Amino acid sequence: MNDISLKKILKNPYLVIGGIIMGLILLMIIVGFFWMPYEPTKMSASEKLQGISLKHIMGTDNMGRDVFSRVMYGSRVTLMIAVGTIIIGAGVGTIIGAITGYYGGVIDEVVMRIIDALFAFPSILLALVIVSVFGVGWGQLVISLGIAFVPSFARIVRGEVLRCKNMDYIENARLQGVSDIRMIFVHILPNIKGVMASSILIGFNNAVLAEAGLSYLGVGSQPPYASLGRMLSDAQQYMLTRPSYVICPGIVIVMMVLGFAFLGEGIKRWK
Amino acid sequence: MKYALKKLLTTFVTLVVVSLCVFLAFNILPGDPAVRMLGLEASPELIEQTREKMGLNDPVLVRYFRWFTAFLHGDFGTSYSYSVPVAGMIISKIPITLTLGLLAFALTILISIPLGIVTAKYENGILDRAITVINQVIMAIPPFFSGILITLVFGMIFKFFTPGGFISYTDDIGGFVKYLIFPSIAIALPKIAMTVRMLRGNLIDEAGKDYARTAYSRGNNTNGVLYRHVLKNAMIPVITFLGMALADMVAGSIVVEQVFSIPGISRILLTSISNRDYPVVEAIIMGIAIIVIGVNFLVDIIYMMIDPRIRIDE
Amino acid sequence: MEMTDSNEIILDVTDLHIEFHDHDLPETAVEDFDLMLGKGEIVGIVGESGSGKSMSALAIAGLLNRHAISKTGRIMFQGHDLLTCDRKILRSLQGDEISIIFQEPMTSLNPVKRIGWQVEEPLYLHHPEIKKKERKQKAIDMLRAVGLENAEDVYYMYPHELSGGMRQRVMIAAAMIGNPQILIADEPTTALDVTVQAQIVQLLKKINKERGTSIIFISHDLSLVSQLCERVIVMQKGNIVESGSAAKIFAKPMHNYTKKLIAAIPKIDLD
Repeated sequence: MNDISLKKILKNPYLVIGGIIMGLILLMIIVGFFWMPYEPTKMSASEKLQGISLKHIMGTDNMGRDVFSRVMYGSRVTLMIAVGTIIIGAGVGTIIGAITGYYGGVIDEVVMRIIDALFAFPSILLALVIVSVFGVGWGQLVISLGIAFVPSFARIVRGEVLRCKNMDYIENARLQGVSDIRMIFVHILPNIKGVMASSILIGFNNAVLAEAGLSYLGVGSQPPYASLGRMLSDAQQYMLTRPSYVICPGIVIVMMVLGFAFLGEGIKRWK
Repeated sequence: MKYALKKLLTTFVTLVVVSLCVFLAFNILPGDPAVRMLGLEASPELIEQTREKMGLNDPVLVRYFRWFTAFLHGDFGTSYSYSVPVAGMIISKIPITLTLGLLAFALTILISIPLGIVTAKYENGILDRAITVINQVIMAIPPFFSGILITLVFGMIFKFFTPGGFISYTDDIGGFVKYLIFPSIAIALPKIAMTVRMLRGNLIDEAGKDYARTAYSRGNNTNGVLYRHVLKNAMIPVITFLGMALADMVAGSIVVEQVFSIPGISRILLTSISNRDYPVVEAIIMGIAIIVIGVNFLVDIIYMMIDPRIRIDE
Repeated sequence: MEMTDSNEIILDVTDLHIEFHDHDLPETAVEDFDLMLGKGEIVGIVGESGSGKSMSALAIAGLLNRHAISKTGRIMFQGHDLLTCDRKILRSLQGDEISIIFQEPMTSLNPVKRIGWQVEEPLYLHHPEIKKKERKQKAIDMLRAVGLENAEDVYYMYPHELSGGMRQRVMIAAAMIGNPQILIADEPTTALDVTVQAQIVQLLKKINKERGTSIIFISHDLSLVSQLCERVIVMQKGNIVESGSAAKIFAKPMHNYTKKLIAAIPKIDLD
């Protein structure tokens, strides 16, 4: 992980492909903050369900809204929900994993038993439970998905902390009387940044998939500002009359997931 | 046998932990179920009476214990929205969702294990490279999107099935299973991709180990080493993964049921979530939790049979 | 090449060259290796790690089949050149006429198969005419012959239930069950502690005496080799630097490298 040179990055096809895909998507999202071809919520009765044209490069939807503009906006929503999810999931998961792994004993037994039970539980279902408790909306969705992602991060971090705990330099630091909190955050966690980086990217990959699934079910972001998953569920009934309306947002989801997956794989293979 | 008993005990503990979490999640909620049932205009006396009747005035743990034992006896409570027993509402839907999940699971095993073996055997061959790329892409497609594409291509263009033309198992078992085939493909696709990748990697790792060299030294050919020696070792982690995948596929069927308009558990679950009909949500979540926990127990038992080291180590 | 008074030559290796092509430049692992093995003879091959001794042994056992390895020369056994003969012929000899045991008894057995199954395997592969019941009896007899007292119980055990020394005995039982002409022992005692080392060497001696099996014994430990072997080949960096009778080489080493190996004996014993 130490020497990061452009040459080394270019030798890693996963990082290159993942970087290009994510670069394009990020570019689209960033441009969307300043400029979009059309207002994503602007309806036009005369331009319903149009096909791909120069005027509307991804066509229009059943209300005559420009699909590309909506995709630009929807990608932003999807990505932001994913970022929020990872901040909560990785943050809380890391703290739980570090504490249980470092201290062991009864806390470890009890907390990990619960974490294991939750981990075995499909995350989409876990998120549905939490959504049904907190209600429907994108903020609730971020919290739900974040909580649903805690177990996997907690397990990864705990495993890594256990691995590092008995290394010589940790023993040395302990002999020098370093405090527990400093030990965890200064000595152990920086050591596992490689594993963390790839887990976070894989986490993004899963978060985008989960967000899309939940929004498709209608428990995520609400219209008219729709995420990509929500767009798909709106578009589904028009799939035969205007396939581009379904396929374009779908492909953007796939590309986003693929981009994160490639970056994660690239970091995993980084030697 | 000691191992099996221990696993049975931890399975029960997990069940209690999960059910407690589910119960508490729905019972720390603001809002009074009695008020929700009777409406805001109801008199305070009536509400108090109903609360007493529903047992809402007892301590949380007592209520949990009552709910859990009732649940084990098949009494899932009464729906807030429809005032009918929850069990009656969901019982006829369970076979649909379960069949969908199990079909997807069967497809996953039938396709991914041979593919995993072939790609590992011809490592870096054309087929292996092609499948590795296809796998990456398939893993990135959410099941509901592949479901939409399947509906579009196989349902509407090639007309292999009628989208929306679900046939109930009570009418025609054959037609019922036939309709579920395409949805189960949508659910299974990403799991197939993951299983192929995992099995391929494990097989290649195991084939490089010392015992595989020993097997060659005894005169085994490649197939002999692969099937007689390496496969069983490589399958051990795959079994854990498949166990989790089965649970995931039962849950994943919720989304795909929506895509193919299948009247399984999914529709009731989603309407109950938006209506805040908690007894129904609780029952469905608990039902799936029991499936998940049961599958995990089965996986542990299969593990014990396949890996002799476990019988002593734990 | 020096000859012993042994009457019949069963293995004749001439001009063996082994090259690795894993990196940009080919690496020579073994050069000009010659070996004539008489019936019932024990030959030792000594050298440091990387001297090419194990590579030569693996080549004779027919286990260097990766595409990245090129081999030239001849390994004549029963009228076949093992380097060029049909793979089917090679396989019919492996485990039946030529057997090999390895350095790592802990990992050389399949962890999920019963001991009996593994010991019987050569019979199953090469002598399908032998019935299951008879196979089992032979396996139990063989286990007893290699010094495992409770052979009936061991037959049903798994590798993890045995100690390192016992596992090496199991490896020897599996190697010997087909009554091979040649047993190659590739550092069979290196991973074991000293008392067990001596027992295994005694066992190999006994097998050689009772069954007339020729043994190629590979080790970095000259003192061990001198206990067991009549004839010794000393290798360094892929080449044979000295060969001859064990007693002579031990008493009057000609080559500096051999002298160094002899001088190093106590040091080597430590690890």
